[in-house]
Formats: sequence, structure tokens, C-alpha cells
Amino acid sequence: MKYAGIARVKAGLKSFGLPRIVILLFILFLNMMLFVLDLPVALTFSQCLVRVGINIVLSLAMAPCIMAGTGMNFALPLGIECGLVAGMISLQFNMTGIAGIAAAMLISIPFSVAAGYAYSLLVNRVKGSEMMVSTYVGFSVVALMCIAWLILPFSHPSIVWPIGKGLRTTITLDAWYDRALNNLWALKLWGVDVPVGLFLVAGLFCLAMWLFMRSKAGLMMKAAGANPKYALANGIKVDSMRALGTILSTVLGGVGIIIYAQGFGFYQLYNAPLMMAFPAISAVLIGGASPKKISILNIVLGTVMFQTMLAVAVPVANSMIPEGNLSEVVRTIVSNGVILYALSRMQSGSKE
Amino acid sequence: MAQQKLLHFRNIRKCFSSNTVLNGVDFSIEPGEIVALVGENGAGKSTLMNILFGMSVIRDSGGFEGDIEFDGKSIRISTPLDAMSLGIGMVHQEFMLLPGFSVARNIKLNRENLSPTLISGLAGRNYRVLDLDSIVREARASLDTLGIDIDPLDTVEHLAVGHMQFVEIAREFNKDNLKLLVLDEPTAVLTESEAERFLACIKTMAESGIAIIFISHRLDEVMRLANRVVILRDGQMVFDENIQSTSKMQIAELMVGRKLDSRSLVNADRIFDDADVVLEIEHLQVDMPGERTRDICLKVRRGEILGIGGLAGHGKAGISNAVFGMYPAKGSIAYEGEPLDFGMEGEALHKGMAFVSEDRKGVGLLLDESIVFNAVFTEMLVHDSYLRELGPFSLFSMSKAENRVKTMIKELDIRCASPRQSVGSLSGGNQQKVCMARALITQPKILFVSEPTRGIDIGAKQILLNYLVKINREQGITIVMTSSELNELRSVCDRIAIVTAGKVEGILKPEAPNVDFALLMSGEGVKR
Amino acid sequence: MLIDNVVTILFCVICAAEIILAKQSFAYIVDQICTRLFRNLILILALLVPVWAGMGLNFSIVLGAMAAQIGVIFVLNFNMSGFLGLLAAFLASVPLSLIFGYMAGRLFNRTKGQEMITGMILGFFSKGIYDLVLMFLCGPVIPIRNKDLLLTSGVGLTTPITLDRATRSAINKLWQLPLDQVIIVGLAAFLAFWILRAVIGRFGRGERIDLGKLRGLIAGMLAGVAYFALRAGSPLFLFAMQTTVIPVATGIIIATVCLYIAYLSRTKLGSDIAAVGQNRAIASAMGIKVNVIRISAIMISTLLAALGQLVFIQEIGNFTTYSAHENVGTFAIAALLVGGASIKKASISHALLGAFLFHTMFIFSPIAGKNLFNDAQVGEYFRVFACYAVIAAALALHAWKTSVAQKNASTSEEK
Repeated sequence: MKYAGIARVKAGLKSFGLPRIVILLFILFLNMMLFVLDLPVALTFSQCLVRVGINIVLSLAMAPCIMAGTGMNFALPLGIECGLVAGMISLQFNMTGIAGIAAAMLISIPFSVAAGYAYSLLVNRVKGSEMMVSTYVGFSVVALMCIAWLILPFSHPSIVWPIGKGLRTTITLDAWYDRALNNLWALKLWGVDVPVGLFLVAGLFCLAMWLFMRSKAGLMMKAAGANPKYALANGIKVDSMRALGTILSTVLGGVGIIIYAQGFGFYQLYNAPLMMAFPAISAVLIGGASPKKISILNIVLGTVMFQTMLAVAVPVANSMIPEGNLSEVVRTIVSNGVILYALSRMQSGSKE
Repeated sequence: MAQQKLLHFRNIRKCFSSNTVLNGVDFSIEPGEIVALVGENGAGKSTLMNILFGMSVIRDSGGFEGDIEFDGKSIRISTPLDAMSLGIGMVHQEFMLLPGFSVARNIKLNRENLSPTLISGLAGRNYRVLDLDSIVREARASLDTLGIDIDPLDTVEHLAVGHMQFVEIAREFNKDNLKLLVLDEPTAVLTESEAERFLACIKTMAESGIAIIFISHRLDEVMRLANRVVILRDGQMVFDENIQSTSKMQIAELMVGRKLDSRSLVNADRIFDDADVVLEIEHLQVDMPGERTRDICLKVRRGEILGIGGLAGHGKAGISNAVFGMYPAKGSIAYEGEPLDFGMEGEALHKGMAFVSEDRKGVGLLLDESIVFNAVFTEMLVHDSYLRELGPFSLFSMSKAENRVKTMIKELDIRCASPRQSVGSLSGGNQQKVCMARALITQPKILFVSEPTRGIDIGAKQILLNYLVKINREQGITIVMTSSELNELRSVCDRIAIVTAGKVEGILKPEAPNVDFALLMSGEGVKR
Repeated sequence: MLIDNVVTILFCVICAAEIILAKQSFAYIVDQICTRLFRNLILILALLVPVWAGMGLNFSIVLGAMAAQIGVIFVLNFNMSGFLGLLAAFLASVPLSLIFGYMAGRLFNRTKGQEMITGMILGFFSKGIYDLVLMFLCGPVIPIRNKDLLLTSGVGLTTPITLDRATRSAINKLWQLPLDQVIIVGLAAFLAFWILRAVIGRFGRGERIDLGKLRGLIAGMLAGVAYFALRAGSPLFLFAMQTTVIPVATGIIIATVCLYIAYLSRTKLGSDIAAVGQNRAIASAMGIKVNVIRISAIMISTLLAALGQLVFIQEIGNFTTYSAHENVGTFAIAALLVGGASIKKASISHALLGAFLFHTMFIFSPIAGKNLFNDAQVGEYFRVFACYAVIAAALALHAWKTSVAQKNASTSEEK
């Protein structure tokens, strides 16, 4: 009996994965250090909750494309840029408060759908190489938008450079909707600020995705991703499902960046979106997803773990080693290490 | 002629899970002999050759029993490299040629002639330069000896498919230590003139002392080329004689000489109206890798059980796959007199047909999902069943589906712990039954079943076949059954079409003589 | 043929447009292009061997660059300088780059079919480790003798790290000649080489007499004639040719690398690499040790990248410790692709042409942007965009062709 129990625990640990255990231990260690070094705990946890809330929808954007079989969406910057354009429009026309956020999200949708559809045409022709192609499409779009930010006809004095052309690199949102969602119905529990509005909105998106995964359309998409031949045998148009996944992912990217920006308090243009796919990808991988399988639990758990690690690492690292940017370096190592681990376990058939 | 045997297989046995594929085969060959290995699907020929060549599929499925003696010594062959070092060569059906290299370099691949240089003296053998002159010379010599007219400097990717076969043969011949060469359906891809040259080439090789085993179903070829014929049937050797003492008819007879199970399950003399055709296939050309069809014309009568048989790779599996749009196809299919747009995904499903594919794991199931989910998936998609509306979403309702599936589980006797168990953990036979359940829940008018009892143990086979007969008789479901096992087709079908080389070679009644079936399968037509 | 080379042709057009818009003197143009060519060529050449091995574009050459930088830091730590210092730096980086290459190769063997994305992520990951070691372990854990290398706090290396006068461009300065002389000598040598070849009659050694090879001779002769004509006819041209200085020693190193690659392709190792690149399964069935070959290819690539980065650093004279290697992979790969290479096929001529086109665009983008849009920034962004877009286009085209080929392979098997 005892040995059976131990065997079960061992099997459970094995499927949980060594990297995940390491990261979990690391997070526990960091949390311990928070208390040991007598750092402001309540403030750190408040920031932690905000980070989790604003990143959830961006992580959620990984779900449709993994389900549809197109792998992790390295071209998330495409959706993000659509969201940024919508955001700039909302700022240009002085849309403030919660209404401003909602307006920005709604405006982003047509852009995202169009961009996602166009991009899906490419995705359907590069089956098997989606990861590589999407990475560089994402980079190209960001670089192209850098030029666009310089020449698009925005004119609101607070968002363009006072001297010279083009939009500013960082645009603070206090005049519009800085932290509007965060502060909506916010609570204070044991000194920690809980951004209830933010969690409600993020939760709503998670719920919608969860329902979609169980709906007929969602199940068709999952079948297309899990086994294209099976899907074909059941009359599912695999390419259309892949396109649907890509479009949904792009839309979520657009919406996600708006939530993200309001949470931090500023829009970052130009090169900021370049690497934004990677934290989302690492987060869901840490949460247990793989390039072929993902669940809402993976997304939520992974985002919580990843963002907690980052939120707590910053004050701990800074107090231990004030020079340099240790937390940044740790983030790079963890986030990319997790992706490498996932890739090395993909084993596209041992063709030798 | 008491020559020492080159190769001697003694009492070879091989099982794949519960399936005995080779049941005590004794087989030997002398140097310079040409032996033809003949047999139906599943007779064991490929398995025997895989054992000879040390293919990993043998090792991975539990090895084999019996002894192999080569050149008088008892040996173990665990990998293809072992076989090659002993002097055994094999020309596979998929060519092992590098398209970007020249013929000469392919012939000498990994056995290239090297010349040392200053740099290689320092950096090692790997930095020795390829002596292209001598490589080309040797390649040309091999090609010439074999009478093959190919320029060694040509790049392989520009060669005709038939020529590639010759390059493979030249490669094996070029190996100094070649003693035994195995060829698997060598003339399948050759034109008539190429086939002639091939026969001459093989005779040349045999004259130089190389023993040759070739697998073929073309009886003409066997009669012309072989010194001896070995026939395998159901894992046993049933015939091993010199070619002079036999004839084509005898070989054909022995290939398919199974005792017809007198307890045939059905009354095979039902009357059907030939004009009441529910499905008509005309000039169907299917591009299914490995099972291409060229010109299939077939009429399926309402209410019958039609069998489609034939040797593997000749196209029988392509027919049902084409109806369901699994592979690109040309031609016309008419359902109830109306043309069927089979290229459109799901068209056949919507018209009331269902398909149980031969590839149950690859095409038939989502292994990670439950039995319930798998069983009702098609019904949910095609008829929007088992869905519950919630706002903009149509949610799948497991509870509604479960009841239906429970009935099915009982009917088909699917052995499982619970209906919510994942299908991946079921045995092969039970997985097959889930695929069948999925097809039947859609209440089809025509059911296409491919390899219905593959991987199912003997006892369960009968039950499944009985069930098919039952739904045909009681519910009037027309059944089109594709199978590699002739016996199975003959026990339940009203008619059996034999597909050879991509065409329907002939249609027979189940009680037709064995030799008729064999001749159809070897492409000789029925000579009566 | 047009589609295959659409990227190269497009780039030619862009470069021409930019040069015209930039309105710089011819001498400046020639000088800049030459400088960049000599600085970057080896890094691009380092990409060739993995392409032959079927592993696509080696995004992990950044590991070789890091090895070179560590070598330089190591040498500076012991206050070595000059050409010998650089030589020592290279020797120090050799074992490092071989180890890095070996580990990368092992990882690639576990991710067959996805080598490029693995290489890219590996590059990012390694950058993290590199930063960790150099930013936090150098000083407190790893003793650094030369205090100039450390930050004032004593923890972490400073940035940028500058080479002293003796070391800066030490390789370049070994032997410098005006471009004019080099071209004339080059043409003479080229002619002599072909005459020698004809005399010894080594044509058709096991391969067809390629019309392409004769084309090379004819093209070379035409180029030679054109050169002398321009030289005599245009004083502007002559001035540019005479004032541009060529670092011949560096050129010899580049030539050695080219010769090595050419030699490699004729050897057993090279043949095995090409075989593995065409079809792993067949190569393996024939007895070629596929995994070992793949690792060897990456090790060679990483080592060449280290050499390339060393040449790069010595020419510039300094490097930003934590970011100098960031875009090494991206730029080199974009350049190779612009030269007409693809994921499956890359040759020395692709590297040469690509280096020329890509870096020309790179130099003149900001200036052209300033003249066209009154904003140099547009030009800068444009060149980055062009870089990414080239890679995206090449990857997409290759993936498209592969999936089409797979579909057609089934149709072309039988008649």
C-alpha cells in the first residue's frame, strides 16, 4: 500500500515536470526572502495581483492557436499592435475612464480580425514551421509599426512629441484611464490592494474561453488541432479552424494589451511589443501547457506562477544586489529556459 | 548439387501481440539461386524479410524465435547494419537514394574512395578528400556489368522512377561482400521494357554467385525468373519446389488455398435488383499514398454487403477514403442517382454515409478523449445532437450523450471501466468497436468499413462480423467492407470485388473457387 | 527562377534607391561598404555548414560571438594587447566555442525539425546566463585582475569594453593596401589560376564540366576589362579605388575560411554533412552517424562565429559587453538570405553577395531616410524592418515550398 502511494506521488511529480518544481521552489524561496529581508510585503503582493490580472488575457491569447494546432503564437505582437492602434485612437478622441477602455477594446476588434485573417492565410501555407515564421512575422510587424508610429496622423498634443514628428515612445494614461479597471471596485484585504474590477474582467474572458472550448465550434477547433485527419474524416475544414484560432488569438492580443496598458499606467510603443509574446508563452508553458495542449488551468496557474516570480524577484534582487538588473536576467533565463524545455520534449517523432 | 546452403532459416516464429504471423517457417537458399517468395497479404513474407534484415520493428515487438544460419554459421541479426556487414542487401519499396547526389555518389554512399591530404594527416580521416574519379569509375563498372544504361554523373532527382530502382541494385551489387539480395515487389514501378532489363540484370547477378530472394505477386515474372518458388500462407510455408515442377495455376491455387469455412455466416444467395443501385462509382482515381487507384468502376446495390479485397498497396483502401474526401480524387460518384461532391469536407457524412477507417488510431479516434465523446462526435457535428444552447455558445452535453453511448457499449460489448474512460487506454479491439459505434450512432444508410477486424482476437472477430450482418439484415444498412483478409470477406459478403493495380479486376461470389481469387489478385484475370 | 530570387532583386533595387537618395560621395560609399564587408563576412560564412547539414539557419551563432567576447575579456584581464593579444583571445575562445557548439548540437538533436526556433530561444537563454555570469559573478566570485574591466562597485564587468590603441584593428593594420592595388593583383591572380587549371586539365573531376564554371571565367574577364575602363575613364572612380584601404591580413583570414569551407565540401565529412542534410533517415540507414555529424556541423559553425566576432570587435575597437552579440544572428542570417540563400541551400557566393547588399542597405538607410522623410529615424526603422521581413519572407517561402512538395511527393511517385 505504502509503495503504491509513493509510486503514485513519483508519477505525479514526473508529469508535473522538473522545471515546474524548480520554479515553484524558487518562488517559495523568493517569498521567504521577502519576509526575511523585511521588505514591504503588502506592496509587493499588491503589485503581484495587478501583474497577474493584466497578463491573463495576453496569456489567454495562446489558447486558441494551440487548440487549433498552430502551436504557440509567437506572432502575438500582431494582435498587440492592433490593440495599440485602437488605444491610440481612444486617446486621440479623449475617451476616458472605463468607457474609454471598453471603446478601445471594441475598436481593436475589427483591426485584429482583419490582421488575423490576413495572417491566417500565411499560417495555413506554412504547416509545420509556424513557430519560426510567426516569430519573424511578429518582429517585422513591430518594426513596420515603428515607422507607422512616426508617420500616422495623430495630433493630440499629449501623445505626440512636442518637437518633431510622430507619437511618443511612452504615453502615460493619467489623463484617460490610468488603472481604471484596477481601481474599479477595488478592495483592501490585510493591507493588500485587490483589483477586483480587473479580476472580474479577466475572469469574464477566461469564462468565455472556457465555454468556447466546450462549444461545438471550440470542439471542432480542438479536433482540427489534435488530429487533422480525424477532423477531415468528420467533415471539419481544418484550414478554417486554424484561421479561426489565429483570428481569436489576435483579437485577444489586441484586447489584452489594452488591459495591460491601463494596469501599468502607460502605453509603450515602438520596440516595446517586440518580445511581448515570450512572457505569455513561458507563462502558459510553466502552467503545464505544451505546444499541442492547453487548458484554462494551465493559463491561470502559469500566469500566477510566472508573474508572482517576477513581482517578488524585483524587490528581493534589488535589496540583495543593488547593482545591475538581476531580476531582468533571472526573467530571461527562466522564461527562455522553460520554452527550451518544452521544445526539447516535443520530439516530432524520433526520425532517425 | 550438394552445395552448402548460404542462408537457412530454421523454425522461425514471430508474434505481434496476440497475432501469430510466422508459425514455424523453414526456409533456405543456396548461392546463385533465385527464389521467389509468394503469398497473400499477411502471409508473413514482409515479416520474414524484416527479420532477415534486422529491422527495428521486429526488435521493438518482442523479437522472434528460431535460428538463422548464414554461410554455415549461426548468427544474430539485430540491425540493418549487421545484415549489411554479413553481405545481405535489400532493395526497399521506398528508395534509399539521396536526390541531390549523383548516381555514382549514391552507389558509393558511406563507402566512398578517399584520398589522404596534408590536412587529413593533421585533422583525421574525416578530412580525406573524396576521390571522385575512382568513385565514378567504380560506379560505371557496376552499372555496366549489370547491363544498366544510366550515366553515373546524372543527379538522382532527375532520374525516372524506374531507373532509381536500378541504381539501388547497382549500389548493392557494388558492395564487395554482397552474397544475398532481397527485392520487395521490384517490378511494381517499372515499365515493360524496364522490367525486361531488370530480369536480365537479376540473372547476371545470380550468375556471379549472388543469391536472390524476390517477393512478387506477378506470376508471369515468377515463372520466368525464379529457380524456385516458396509460397507462404498464414505464416506457414506451404510450397517449396523448383520452378520446373509447377505452374502458374498451381501457385495461384496454393496462395489462396484456405478451407472455406463451411459455417459461412450468411445465406450467400440473396437476390438483389441490379438496377437498384444506391452508390455508383465511375472512373475513380484516388491519390492516396501507398494505395493509389487508377480507374475504379463499381456499383453498390441497395441492401447488400459488398466486399472489396485485393493485395496491399493495390488501391482497395483508396475507394472508401475517396468517398469521404480524405484524399484528392477524380472521377464521379453518384449517391441515389445524384452526383456526390466527395471533395467537399463532410459531404458524404451529411448525405447519410458513415466511415470506419482502417487507421483507427490515426483517423478514427481522439485518443485523449473519452469513449462517450469519441462515440458521439460525428453525430454532434453532422446532426447538431447532444448540444445545449447557452447564449452564443452551443455547449456539448456529456450527460445527454452518455446514455446513448451506454446502449451502444452494451450492444457492441465494448469492454471498459466506464464510458468516460479515455479511448487511448482501451485495447485495440475495443477501440475498433468505439469507431464502429461512432459510425452507427449517426444512423447511416451506407456504412463503409475498412479492415473491420484488424487487431481483434479470433473470438471477437466472429461477434463483430455477426453484428455487421445483423444491422444489414435488420436495419437494411448497405455495407461496403474493405478487407485484406479474403476469408472474412467470403464469410459475410454477397459479392467481392478484387482490386489489382488500381482497377477492379473482377467481382466474384464468395463461393467462387480459390484459384479465381488468386488469379484476380495477381492481375491475370479469370480464365475460364 | 524569378520568384526564387525575388528577395535579392528587391534588395538590389532598395540599395540602389538608397545610394541615390543618400547623396554621398562615391569614395565614401566604397570605403564604407568595404569596411563592413571585411568586418562581417566571417559571421555570415559561419552559417553555411549548418544549412548543408539540413539544420536550417543557425540562430545560435550568438554563442560563438559570446565565446569570442569572453576570450577578449580573458586576454584583457591579463593586460595582453596587440595582434598577439588577439591571437591569444581567439585561442582562448576556441575551447569555449567548441563546448558551446557541442551543447547546442546536442539540444538540436533533441529538437529535430525545429532547430531554428530552438537556436533562437537558445540564443536568448544563453544571453541570460552570460549576463548573469558577467554582471554578477565577475568580481565577487570570479576574480578579475584588471580593475579597469570592472564597474566601480566591484561587481560586474563594465560596458563598453574598449581595446587599447595597440589592439584596436590590430589584425586590420597588419597589412593594408589601397583597393586599387588589391583589385589589380586579384585580377591577375584570377587569370593565372584559370590558365593553370586549363594547363593541368583538371576539368571534369568526377563532376560534369559545368557551363557555370566557364561562365565564371568569362564574367571575371569582363569584370576585369570593365574595371580598367572605369579606372582610366573616371577620375572619381580612380580616387575612390585609391583612397579606400583594404585590410589584407583580414582578407587573408576571410579567404582561409572560404578555402576551408570549399575544402570541407570535398571531404568525407562534408559529403556526410550534405547527405544528412538531404535526408536523415536514408543517411542513417546507410550507416552515417547522423547525430554526430549534426553536432560537428554546429561546432564548426560556432567556432567560425567566434572568429567572426573577434574580427568584428577588433575592427570596431570596442564592444558593449552585454549587447554586442544581440543581433549577430539576425543580421548575419538576413544578409545570407538576401544573397539568395535559402533554408536548404547556401553557398559562399550567397554569403558574399548578401554581405554586400545587406550592409549597403544598412549603411545608407538612415541617411536616405533623412533625405527622403527629413527623419533619419525612419531610415533606421526601415533597415530593421527590412532585416526581419527578409527572414520572415525566406522562412515563409521555404515552409510553403516544403508543404507543397510534401503534397506533390505523393502524386509524383507513380505514373
